[in-house]
Amino acid sequence: MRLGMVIDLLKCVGCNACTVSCRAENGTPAGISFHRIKKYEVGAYPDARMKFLPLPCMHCQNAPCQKVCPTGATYRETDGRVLVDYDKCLGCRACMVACPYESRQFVWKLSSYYEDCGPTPFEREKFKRFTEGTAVKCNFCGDRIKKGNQPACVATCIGGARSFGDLDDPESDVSGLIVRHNGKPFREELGTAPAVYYIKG
Amino acid sequence: MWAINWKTPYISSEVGNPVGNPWLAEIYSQDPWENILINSATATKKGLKDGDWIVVESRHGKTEGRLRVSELIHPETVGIPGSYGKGARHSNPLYRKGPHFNILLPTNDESIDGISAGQEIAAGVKIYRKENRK
Repeated sequence: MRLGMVIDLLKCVGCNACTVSCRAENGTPAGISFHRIKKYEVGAYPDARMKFLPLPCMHCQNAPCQKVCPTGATYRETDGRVLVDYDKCLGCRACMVACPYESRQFVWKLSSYYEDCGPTPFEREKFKRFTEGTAVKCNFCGDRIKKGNQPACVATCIGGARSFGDLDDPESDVSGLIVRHNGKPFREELGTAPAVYYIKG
Repeated sequence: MWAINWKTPYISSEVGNPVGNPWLAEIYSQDPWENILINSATATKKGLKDGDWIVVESRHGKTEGRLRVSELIHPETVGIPGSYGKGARHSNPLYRKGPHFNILLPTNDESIDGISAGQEIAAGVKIYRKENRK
């Protein structure tokens, strides 16, 4: 089993609803977001276009972050997701250097936004899952998928641009989309074998 | 040059002050074009380069911000997106950051269209670099 995602770049409008839903689901502290959208332009006036590239963690089969982790805190789950064990992470940040997709971030401090007011009730609850001095990243919303739901970004996308499922199952939605639309991961030539594919459906 | 404005993908309207929302502020501050946009050929002609701090001035007001060079915009326009920089007195201080588009527009009686009460929304402006930014 290999859980993966397919993102349709023709449908993405860069609204960042996925990014905000990721913040709401995971409750990451100030300055940290597991999901990002890179906005860029191609072409020259008057034929220039704005394009968007949503970037979750790629959950690579051949993950550089896992290879460089000195304690084995970064490990691969049986369902294919690359996860971090915060008890084992000693905060060396080698994974942040190794990841070519900038997926990994570091919790320097569990910061709120209004420091003189302290953390909000929402933050107080969500910050329990983080430890200062550890590296964090997208985990394909483990809590949600264990209940049979999809990750927050997939469920939230207003354009229906994202799909989630088992890449090893030829009958799944994601496998079908990859075959039909010739899906490719981002920077495939780096050899990390990502589990996130992009299509132009 | 003409100043123009547009909505950004992550803030559909300013109702409820999303510009002051810290989560959205982290998203729009990472956007390379959350600044003042001009066409790259125009920038070269005016001797401006990407990253310069410039002033955009109309007959009615002026605002300043970081210049971003882009191919996405008409050569005779200056683009200031969204509704940043305005700030109401009781709003989140984030709302007062960034270049402010509306300050370039007139609010006097003569500028309002006599038939439909339409307002001027593309002011004529000049732009120049601000040397000592403070």
